[in-house]
Amino acid sequence: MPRSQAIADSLTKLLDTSSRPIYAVDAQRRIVYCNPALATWIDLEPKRIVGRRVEFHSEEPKTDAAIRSESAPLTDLCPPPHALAGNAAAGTISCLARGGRMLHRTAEFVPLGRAEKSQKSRDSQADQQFGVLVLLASDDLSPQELAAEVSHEPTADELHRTIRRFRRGQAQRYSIQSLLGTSATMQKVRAQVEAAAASGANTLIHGHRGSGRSHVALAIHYRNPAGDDATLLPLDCEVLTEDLLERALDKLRPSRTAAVARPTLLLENLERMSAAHQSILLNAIRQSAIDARIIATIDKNTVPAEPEDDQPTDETGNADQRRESVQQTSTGVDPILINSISTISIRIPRLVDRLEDLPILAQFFLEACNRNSSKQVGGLRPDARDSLALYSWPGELDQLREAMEAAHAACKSHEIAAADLPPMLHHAFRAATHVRRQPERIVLDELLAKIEKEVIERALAQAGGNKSEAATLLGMTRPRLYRRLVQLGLAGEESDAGETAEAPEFIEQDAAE
Amino acid sequence: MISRNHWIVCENAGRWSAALRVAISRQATKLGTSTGSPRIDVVRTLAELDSAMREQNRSLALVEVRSDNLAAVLELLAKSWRRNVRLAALLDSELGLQPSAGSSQSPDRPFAADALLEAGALAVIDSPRQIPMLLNLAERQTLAEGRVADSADTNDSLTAIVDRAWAALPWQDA
Repeated sequence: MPRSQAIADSLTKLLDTSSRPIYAVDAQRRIVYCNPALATWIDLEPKRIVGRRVEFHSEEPKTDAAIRSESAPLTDLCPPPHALAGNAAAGTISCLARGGRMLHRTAEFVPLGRAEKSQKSRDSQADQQFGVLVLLASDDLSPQELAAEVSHEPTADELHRTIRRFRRGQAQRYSIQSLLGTSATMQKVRAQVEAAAASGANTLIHGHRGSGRSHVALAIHYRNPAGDDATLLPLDCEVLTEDLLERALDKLRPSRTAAVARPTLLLENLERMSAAHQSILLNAIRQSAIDARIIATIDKNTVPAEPEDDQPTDETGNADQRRESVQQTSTGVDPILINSISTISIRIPRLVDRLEDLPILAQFFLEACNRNSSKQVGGLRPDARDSLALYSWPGELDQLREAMEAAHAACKSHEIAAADLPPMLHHAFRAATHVRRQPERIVLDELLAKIEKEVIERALAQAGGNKSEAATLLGMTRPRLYRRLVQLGLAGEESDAGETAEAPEFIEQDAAE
Repeated sequence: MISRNHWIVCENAGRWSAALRVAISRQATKLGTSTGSPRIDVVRTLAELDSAMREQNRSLALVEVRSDNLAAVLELLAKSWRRNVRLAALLDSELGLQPSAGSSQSPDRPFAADALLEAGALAVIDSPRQIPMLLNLAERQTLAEGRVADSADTNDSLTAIVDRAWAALPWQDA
């Protein structure tokens, strides 16, 4: 088979798989190729399309029957004269769909001719004829978009469509399935998310920073039965200003139009909300000044103070007294605010408590790295998986993601080895490999001195041997550090000659103080 | 004091970066100091912005939103939120000013602003007059990040020492 034929066959196969309608018109204005997507779009079999002429003007009436006959020209599929003259162009292509409805799509017209035209041929372009490859968009244009296409101006509808498309994308991204993990605790979280989404009730999500609290909140919101119309207003309480809060509450005022879907107010890091902001929000909730479902994320350690037994538990009448008597929680969140938000309470498990989910989560983050890089890493070797499991993950999923990004960058083969993981994991691994000892007698002072010696040595190393800086790192005075160095037998090793001579003076001075 | 020291602005005309420089300079004059004032870099495309944000993940990114880049900005915002990178949106004066097609829909400009906030924008401003609010927010964001970083640094530096000390302690089963 000639090479050019092989290339043509390969190209045809490639175009056949495209979801965008594509066809080619030769210099005699006959369709020489169309892909299945075009056949579907204009609702004609490929054999009824290929071979037919495309003309700007046809004497035959544009009817469904005429189009379906095999001889009539397909006038609507004709590229513009500019494109047929051998120039790249963009425009709109229309077709009459079954039932008489006109469909319109934007199109790119790619000239098929000699790659380089000589000056002579350019001069005689009017006499030249070229083939054209036509690539249509994936979606039909709305009448408004068509009008905008003609006038070259975006429409309001286009903006709304963009936003709806974004929301649909978010709904996919934050689907229930995106809450990865097969552990029992994660199964429970998924069930709670389903329940919270279906009920529309206020929801409080407890979890450590980095554990995916916001992801769970978004999963609840985007499972909203109102679909694309429900808006989400996220507020990070950590950076919240009064101005922002007031604006948000203003946006969430009960709507006078019944058609608007109930919005969601997402309060991130509720434990960081100032008392003044809590008071404003609580008043708005009590006075029904806002009509929104509230989802809040809060640190797992934030537990509202329990009211005393003799205190009223209702929120009417004695609420202010109760607020005075029941102090704010240890992290500063008013228990009444917590109660009003926690109709449903979801607790996100710590990563260390669901180690069975670790491999799938690590693989997920690895795949994300692969998507953003030309380097493709297949997975983790067993030694790397063991190292991951031995670490305590204080930074939760965020830390795991960072660790996988670092490992992906360091990895030199197709699989991540333990050596590719960040140093912190190696420290933890070494600590974990210390064998458990048999019960033994110890001398506490010696053990503590050993630990103190280790820490001081580290501090000196960290400070590059500078004792003043080491003392600062250790939170002690320089004379006291000297005294400890002498007592621990480190003065000789660590001091240079000048400093050793100076040490006794400091020690004496310190002792005198 | 404005403590974020590197801002990346993505825009075409240079209008916003000029306004930001003026606002920052005014604030510095008001406070009688120029230390801590952010450096402003300008990029022209969202791809350049994304790349700059990856390199300088502690920077504040600001992006001009127009009708033709709204979808791409929404995607970038959503991606940035997942990476804990915060980005503010600067609305172009022409965005969403055309009449809405359906009477039940919100006017378009606030609708776009809501969607940008929903996607994770730190703030949405549509006038240089609102830049002081942005400066205030950026400062709060920096303070918040400082708290988190301090806590993480403390944890990190202690982890290895505590792990080793803990491993050396007797009676592990107790």
